[in-house]
Amino acid sequence: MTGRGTDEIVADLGSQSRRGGAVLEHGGMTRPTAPLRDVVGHALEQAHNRLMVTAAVLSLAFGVIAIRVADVTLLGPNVDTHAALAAAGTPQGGRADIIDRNGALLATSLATASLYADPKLIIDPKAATRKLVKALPELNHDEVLAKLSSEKRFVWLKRNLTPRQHYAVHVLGLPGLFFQNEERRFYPSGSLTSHVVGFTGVDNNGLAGLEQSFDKKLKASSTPLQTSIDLRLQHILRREVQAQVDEFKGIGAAGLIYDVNTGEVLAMVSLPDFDPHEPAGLDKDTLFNRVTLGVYEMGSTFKIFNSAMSLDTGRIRLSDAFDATHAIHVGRFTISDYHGKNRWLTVPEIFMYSSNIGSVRMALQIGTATQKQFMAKMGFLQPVPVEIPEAAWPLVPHPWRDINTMTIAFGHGISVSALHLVVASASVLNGGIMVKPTLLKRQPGVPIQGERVVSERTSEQMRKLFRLVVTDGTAKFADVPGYLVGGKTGTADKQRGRHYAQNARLSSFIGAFPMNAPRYIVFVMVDEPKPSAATHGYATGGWVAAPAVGRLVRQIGPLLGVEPVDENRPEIRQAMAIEHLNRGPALAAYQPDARQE
Amino acid sequence: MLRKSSLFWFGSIALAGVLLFRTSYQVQEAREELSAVNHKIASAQEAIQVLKAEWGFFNEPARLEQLTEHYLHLRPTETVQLASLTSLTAVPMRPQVTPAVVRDQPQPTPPVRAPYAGASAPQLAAAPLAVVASAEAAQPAPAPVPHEPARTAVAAAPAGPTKRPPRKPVVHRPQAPARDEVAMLLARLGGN
Repeated sequence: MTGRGTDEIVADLGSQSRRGGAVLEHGGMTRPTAPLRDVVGHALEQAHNRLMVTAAVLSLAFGVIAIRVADVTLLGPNVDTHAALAAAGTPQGGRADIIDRNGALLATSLATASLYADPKLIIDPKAATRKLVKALPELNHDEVLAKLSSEKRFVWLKRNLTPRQHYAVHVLGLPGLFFQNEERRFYPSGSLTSHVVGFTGVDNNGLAGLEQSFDKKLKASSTPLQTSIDLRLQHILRREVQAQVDEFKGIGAAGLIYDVNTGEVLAMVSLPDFDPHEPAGLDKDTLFNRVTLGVYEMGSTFKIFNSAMSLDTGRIRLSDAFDATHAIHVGRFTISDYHGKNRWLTVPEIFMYSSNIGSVRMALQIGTATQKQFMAKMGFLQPVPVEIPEAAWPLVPHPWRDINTMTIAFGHGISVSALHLVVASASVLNGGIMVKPTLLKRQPGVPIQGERVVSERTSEQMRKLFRLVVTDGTAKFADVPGYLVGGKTGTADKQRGRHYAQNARLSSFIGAFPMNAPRYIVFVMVDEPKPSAATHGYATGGWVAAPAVGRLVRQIGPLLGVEPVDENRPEIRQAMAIEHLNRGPALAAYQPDARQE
Repeated sequence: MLRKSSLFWFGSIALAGVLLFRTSYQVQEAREELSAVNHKIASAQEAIQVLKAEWGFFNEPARLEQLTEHYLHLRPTETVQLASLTSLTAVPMRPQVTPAVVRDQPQPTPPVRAPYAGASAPQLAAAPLAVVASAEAAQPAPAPVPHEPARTAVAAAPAGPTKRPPRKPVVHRPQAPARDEVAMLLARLGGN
């Protein structure tokens, strides 16, 4: 608006007022002209001001719009906004994948279409059925005809079609057939990792394993969940454990490969396992995780902790000897050795020959309170803190009497899971640091939290004892040249009601390698192995589980990059040398081929 | 009465209108394009997912193991076949074929082939290690290949100690791979 425009308006108003004056004159009213001019001048002034204000406001508004338009159109698009818009419109994948430590797929989601029909809309059920069965030959003609002829408004015809089948049905162009987009969880390696990964239900909710514990995370983000499992090791472990189950006709088995220093579970097998694609209708036995959920009296493998405890207190040294001449009678129990040496045994000998009597005497010397405290440090009074929901509470004596102290010394009277045993053994072997076990891959560079449970000196002594069991003791079958395998056998009688069954055993072997600087633990346990002719009637840990561990180490050692060493090299010999062993003449009488428990 | 200024303003309005109209159509077009691209992305993602699943399915260790047994002469590595450079410093690069080394060979004809070393070499002595660790070790001796005689005569006939076993024995393939890989995947998912 310019001054010129205002002049026009003023002129306009002036002419109006003149006409107004005329009207007034017509009305016969008389007024002087000069005051009228003043009034008009005042009104004009007011109108001018108002117009100016309005014009200013409007120009401001238009100015803002113009600037914004220039900003949006001329000054270039804002890339971030565009990306955000595009991202918002981008379809998100479904449930995230689960991968192994090397990136191999363990679980993924596939988009599928499911075919359903509204029979009311089917014009000719017979013709439709004929075409449909031709397109999908696996459908039953009569069933489909019955479905399509029914009075319902919704019948499933086939769930989860492949893209090819989807296309085949699509081109039929039949009215009344519809597709429902669905997502199916797919496990490329089938039952191989079933107990670790778990499974999902029909509506894709995790119902077991990692699928359950990371359900929310898997649904929320599309970044894959990387587990600590190595699929290759998992396969080898399952094959070897299955071989032992077949050979000894066991009712089940458990296997574990564990990184001693990082606490990562590299492979975890529980047999029998299940097909995660069809978990429904399976019996509880196959769904039962024998590694983490099953608690067992572990038997002689507990002598690891009895020895570690005794040595760690400093009150018992390797050179100390205990009387294992006679069985110990406590109340109605008799504690004896499988193959008693019937003499005094040193601590290494007790471990090597797996002497129950010697172990009990060691535990009694240490005392109940210290034992309970030590077992708590080893994590035996709590469930293992692992990422799957199938983690069992151990069965511990309450109250903890002296008789419990005696039985716990050789692994009875306390029931823990296989994972408990392995995690605790790792802390004894790795220099004395208890590391939390994990099923997720540890990122390199992130420091590993741990707490000291035994001294480094104790750990070093325990490594020697482990090695001794394989070179001279009950587990010679586990030896692999070059890998310095060490370990401890365990054979526990299973409890049936209130008594121990004679022919229902739990034979296990916990092996570690290389013993000069342990890196991995391999654990194998067979549930109720039956002795066979090939094992001369034995079904003990040394016969059942130790050979499997030997075969496993032989195969996984190269995969894990463990460099074989010459066992006869002086520094290796020295690292594994153990004193206080050759006590008395009885050792010479010990026959190496009489493999015993 | 039209003045020049009015003409100017009307012209501007018309121009703005046309521009706005065009922009609006462009936006609409772009939106359609975006949705089409999104759709493509979705189907590509689905295809990738299927391919990944297929890759996992075909790389299942049990299957690979079976194929390896069928088509390759490879076996799991034995500890005596492994050595690091540091442990090889004392060993000459070309081992002297002395009687001590070839003692247990049937005929001392070069190139010396180490027998499959699992049973016979318990200790990691220096000289046998060099032989075993050489490239020849990749070729196992023909005798202990377990499933060889059951196949074609190509593999069985020329298996003398001085000749290499054929690199690729011709065997009949177990079965033609199925065409519809996705169907195989989904077949594993179970039926209805």
